Amino acid sequence: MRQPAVQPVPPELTLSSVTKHFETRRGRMKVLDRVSLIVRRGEFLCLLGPSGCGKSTLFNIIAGLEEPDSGEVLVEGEPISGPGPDRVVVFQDGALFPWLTALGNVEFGLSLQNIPRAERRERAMAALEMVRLARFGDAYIHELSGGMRQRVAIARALALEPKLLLMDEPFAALDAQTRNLMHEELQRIWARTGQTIIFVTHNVSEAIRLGDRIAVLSFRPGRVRREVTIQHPRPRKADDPRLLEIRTFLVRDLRSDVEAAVEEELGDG
Amino acid sequence: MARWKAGLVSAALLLLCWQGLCWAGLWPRYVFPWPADVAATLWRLISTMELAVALLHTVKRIGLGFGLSAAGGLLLGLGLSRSRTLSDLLGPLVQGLQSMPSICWYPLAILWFGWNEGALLFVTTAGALFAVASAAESGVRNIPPGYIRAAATMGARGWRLYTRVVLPAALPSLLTGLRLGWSFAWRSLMAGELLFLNLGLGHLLAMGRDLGDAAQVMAVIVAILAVGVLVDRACFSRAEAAVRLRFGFDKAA
Ligand SMILES: Nc1ncnc2c1ncn2[C@@H]1O[C@H](COP(=O)(O)OP(=O)(O)OP(=O)(O)O)[C@@H](O)[C@H]1O
Ligand SMILES: [Mg+2]
Repeated sequence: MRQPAVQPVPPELTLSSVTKHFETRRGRMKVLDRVSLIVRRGEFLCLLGPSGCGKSTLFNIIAGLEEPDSGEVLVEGEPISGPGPDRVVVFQDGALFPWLTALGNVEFGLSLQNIPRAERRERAMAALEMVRLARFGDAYIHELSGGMRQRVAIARALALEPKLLLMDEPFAALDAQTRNLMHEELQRIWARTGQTIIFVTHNVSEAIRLGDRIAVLSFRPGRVRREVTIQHPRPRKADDPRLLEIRTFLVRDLRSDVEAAVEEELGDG
Repeated sequence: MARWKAGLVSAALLLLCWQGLCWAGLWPRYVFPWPADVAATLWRLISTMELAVALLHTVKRIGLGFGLSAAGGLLLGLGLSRSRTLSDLLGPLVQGLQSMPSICWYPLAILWFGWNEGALLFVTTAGALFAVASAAESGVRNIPPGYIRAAATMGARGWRLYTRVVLPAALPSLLTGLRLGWSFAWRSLMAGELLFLNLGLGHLLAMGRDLGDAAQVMAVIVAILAVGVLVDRACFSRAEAAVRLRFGFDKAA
């Protein structure tokens, strides 16, 4: 069989040597140190790192909400300029608009693209259906539970069909039971849409359950310290014994990193 | 419904106390008129159209004055929230002017405009403008930054970021500012009409005093009270309740 001529497709996201400092009262602090990363189309990448290692900062840079000091962010090979609907973020608290209904929130981004009303409604309803909230389209945000809100936030992002769906610890505020359900939902949605997802978490189990690949960030300054590919078939259960080994490894790995960093800090002071 | 009933009961109680004081005969009837006298005067003012004419003038003035200060105050407040420099330059001035009792503007207004509508309009507007502006500024400044960031990643920028996110997010504070502005404007206007003897409710009030007619003074006070309560209930309370319901503010309480 003859192979078709393969066009070199640029990866969905390329980070090359992204470095970022913050000015603090105690001087200049390096938060991200030459972070390089490639994300392929349709991939589910988890960014794992201890609290405060710069995950959200890296996300803000990818989203275009912040500028790196040096380094490049390319989406499909093109440098980004500012925030845009090709890279939608699902924030930790959802950041849903309380003055709009659930459906209104999902339609928001579509209406900015001047999509006609009928099509807008249709796409928003499809996104709400995807997160199983079609019946709650006319509910206001405060009428929804925490898990439902995060699902609306996901629907709001999915409706825009972004090149990159950026999720910054979207389930961190939920109880374990709800989070477990959300993990199942997200895997199902990902299987259905083939959406490229980058998912930030400091929770090892979450990263293992969701990611094709895990990029581990080190603690202060943040740097990609390790990349782990997980080939385990989906859908993955939370307590799958075959994932235990890698889990133990990552937990130990993270802990030694944080301990080393803390020791260093204490030594300094 | 329950609130309506409560209102009726408290009005009845007030009337009863009033009538009781009259029966006690502490003061002569021409100084402390009976409820029936006030009601009769009110009826006279209504049937001779005096009240309607006065109301017409007052409503025209307050509409214009409040409208101007609401529009100007919102614009000023948004401008201040937009630019750090502008807010550094004008912020303290706005805060200062806001705390100024608006009746203090009258001498200046009379010098500039004379004893006329212009002076009334000036003071009514000045009394409310800065309150609206400073509420609008802080309202916009205190919007959770998450809303702006979320909107930005969905592609909102420029004018549409303003109309679709900033204004609705600040709506609760804007409403509070408008309500405050309204009450300031209403007070300044009443003060002005009292001073000016130039049609309007305040003029009717002053006329009652000049005629030594306590019943007329009280009747007009009732009318002024009614307008104030009516506007507050019909506009601001209703709008605020709608916003509170939508934003879910009542839930935690
Ligand atoms: N605007 C800022 N100015 C100064 N320092 C900042 C700023 N934003 C973040 N930082 C610092 O940068 C470091 C990384 O912050 P970031 O929010 O990216 O961490 P994170 O990995 O997302 O943490 P978490 O898991 O707790 O959300 C922190 O030490 C934080 O104090
Ligand atoms: Mg974070």
